Amino acid sequence: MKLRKFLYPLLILLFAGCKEGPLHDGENSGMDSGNMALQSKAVNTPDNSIRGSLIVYLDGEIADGSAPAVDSVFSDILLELGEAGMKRVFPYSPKDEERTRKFGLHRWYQVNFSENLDVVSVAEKFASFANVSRIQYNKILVTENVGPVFSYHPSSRTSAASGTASFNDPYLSDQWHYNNIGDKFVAPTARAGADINLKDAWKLSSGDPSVIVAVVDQGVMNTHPDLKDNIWINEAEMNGNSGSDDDGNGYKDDIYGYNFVSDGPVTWDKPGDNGHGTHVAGTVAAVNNNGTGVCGVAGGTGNGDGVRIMSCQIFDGEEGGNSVTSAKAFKYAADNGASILQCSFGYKAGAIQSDNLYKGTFPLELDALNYFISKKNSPVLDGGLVIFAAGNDGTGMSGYPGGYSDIISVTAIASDNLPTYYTNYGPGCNIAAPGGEYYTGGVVTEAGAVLSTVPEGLVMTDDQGNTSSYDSPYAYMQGTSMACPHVSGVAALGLSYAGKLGKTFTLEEFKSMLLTSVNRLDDLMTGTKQTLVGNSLGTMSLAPYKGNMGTGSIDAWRFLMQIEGTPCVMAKIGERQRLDISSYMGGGAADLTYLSVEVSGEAAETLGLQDETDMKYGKLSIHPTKPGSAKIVVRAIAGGTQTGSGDVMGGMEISKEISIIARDMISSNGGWL
Amino acid sequence: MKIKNIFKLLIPAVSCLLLLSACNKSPKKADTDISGEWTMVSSDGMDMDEVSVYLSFTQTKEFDLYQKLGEGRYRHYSGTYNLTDNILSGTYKDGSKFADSYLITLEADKTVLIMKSQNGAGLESRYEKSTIPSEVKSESLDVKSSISDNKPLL
Repeated sequence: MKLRKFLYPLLILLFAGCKEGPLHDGENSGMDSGNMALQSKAVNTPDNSIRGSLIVYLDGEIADGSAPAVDSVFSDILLELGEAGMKRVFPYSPKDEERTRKFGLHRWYQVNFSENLDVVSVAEKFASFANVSRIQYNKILVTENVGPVFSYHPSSRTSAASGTASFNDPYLSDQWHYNNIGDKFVAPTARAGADINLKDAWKLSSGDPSVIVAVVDQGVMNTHPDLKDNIWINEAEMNGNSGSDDDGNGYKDDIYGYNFVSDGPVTWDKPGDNGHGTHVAGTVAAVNNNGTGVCGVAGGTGNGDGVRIMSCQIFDGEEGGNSVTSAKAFKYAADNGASILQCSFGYKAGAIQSDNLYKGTFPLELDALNYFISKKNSPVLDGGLVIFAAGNDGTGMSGYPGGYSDIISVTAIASDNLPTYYTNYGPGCNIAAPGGEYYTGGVVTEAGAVLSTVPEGLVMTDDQGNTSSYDSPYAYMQGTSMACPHVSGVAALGLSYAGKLGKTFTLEEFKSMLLTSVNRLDDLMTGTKQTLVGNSLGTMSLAPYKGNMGTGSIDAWRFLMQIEGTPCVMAKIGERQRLDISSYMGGGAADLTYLSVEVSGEAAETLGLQDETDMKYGKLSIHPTKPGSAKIVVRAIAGGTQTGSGDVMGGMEISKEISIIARDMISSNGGWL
Repeated sequence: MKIKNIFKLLIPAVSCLLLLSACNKSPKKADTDISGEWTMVSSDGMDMDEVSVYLSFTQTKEFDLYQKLGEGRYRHYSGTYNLTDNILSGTYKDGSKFADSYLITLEADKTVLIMKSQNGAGLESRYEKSTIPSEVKSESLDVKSSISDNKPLL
């Protein structure tokens, strides 16, 4: 296969410079009142922040409108700043205002002023106002390389293999990340089953158009032939008047989503773009069974029944996103029907090392994320699901926001079922998925990366000024950015299937099921693998990854089985035994850290339980003495050995209700007779 | 007495003996016919909201078992059975033996089947003759099928 080297960096979209430190270097030792106020009100540092932009949080009285209007209160300072303006971060929307106020989001304001002014000086001026509670510098989003990207060109082998595919999309056979048969063309060490186990899952569900996944990223190419049928459409704007906010959501002409950088329609082909958002979207929901290109995890059957992609654009060409654009995107997704927030970007690993620090330094984004999490946009789920990439720093902890306890952080495995050289791992990481790797097994080939959609013809320029372009609507990329949409896609598949079955779940139940629908990885974390080490091929030790990749690798079939409902586990009365509960806790049950086993008095009485019921070596140790059925609750940690707390990064607590049936005799295969 | 006369006496005597001998063996009792489809209606200690079991026995000694224990879809097992002296035993297709052997009793004009385990605590399960719903069969997950990679959860 011909390699097209686009040296332009593959995006792992990062916020830069999140480290804590002095708010700013004081050039003189004396502090005026503004400076002192700023010290107490600033939540982060001005490093790598947007010039000419500042975020302020007003007290409730003024923001609620019961005091003089904001403009009049700050009119003098705005006049002093010259060409300056001040507006709500989240625009007024009649239909969403009540909820917006309930979460206090109406109190966030963005101040824009000349880039020639010193942002700290401006911050001091605003800090001196009593009704300014907090000041947040508007951090810049930057990108980081995880390797080149490669245009896709099918080989003769591709056509030959396509006959065995679930759908008629010709390139599905090259999407090993969905169904890995251990083809050595992908990598010399490719391993059958190192995939998300989609083939059988698709027999149960392949998506539902009522499920909306917000892709917060570069703009998604909504005209892509393999995506356009699964793009979310805002009908009111589609059928409305150009230049007006027809649906009253605060944004004009947001037909397919919104560009929060340029404050306009979604774009994907500006200098600086590389198709990252389009690639991510294709993994979630490229149209299936349309005889064209590739498949998406929840892309439907070719009958308009895939999940829908809402493009929430926070990166636009050379212009990186920032705190304001990302927060706006999160809220927009919540207000316009998305149930899943797919986020392949994040703060650099290590820059933030606790939930408290994240809460303290990026309150605007967290407020918006909490707004999304608490919004019920699906009849299946009582909240919104947020999924972030763990990051590509090769560091022993997740980047944030993925590392935050309420958010799922996704690590990346390669076609050999082993960690990729670039993936973050450790505290804060919750689950793994295929992110692809060009160097698996010590051989360089793009076939080991993730294949998805890109904007054909997009011209890219690398760091050395060399230009190249996609000469195909499909390309390979690698990264936790690519792993993340696999989990988002599987989650969307689960929502689709649950809707079909008429089932409902709490967000905690849904996350617990998702994070336990996995195949075991830890038993493979011994020895070494050949991959990129530094700047050349080499040997990478697997030991550091043991227990650190999350609960295991996501398995779509297992997830849909959990959505259907998990059958009881059978126990034999009259003896103490260890029951395999991997159907509840996942293939990695043996590796999880268990927090507790909760047995009600009624359950203990029903089963006549003797001795302590607890978890040993990943199995449920139980001694029933009476026939009957009862439920017990097992709590565990998804990712790592300790739950994340305010000060310490860690995993997410999950709980599962286990149904037990105790009988006098049980068969080895679980049959009733 | 001539030898010929002796034979005349012996033949009926031997015939009678043979006949008596044959009469001493009780005639082979026919096994209870449990062929047909059955629905479990009770099982000692079990909450029937949690347990649903359907059985189908054929006269060619094959069985199908559909069970739903707790949540999820029905699991389908199949195999062969043997019924001797009203004791039921069997083997699943995967080679696993039945957990126990069961004493079979038919009641209510052979519309009720009672199965009592022989080696455990002697627990009884009661089945009624009824047609297995078609959706149970069609939507069940065959535990030996290729799509049940996740081993029957049991």
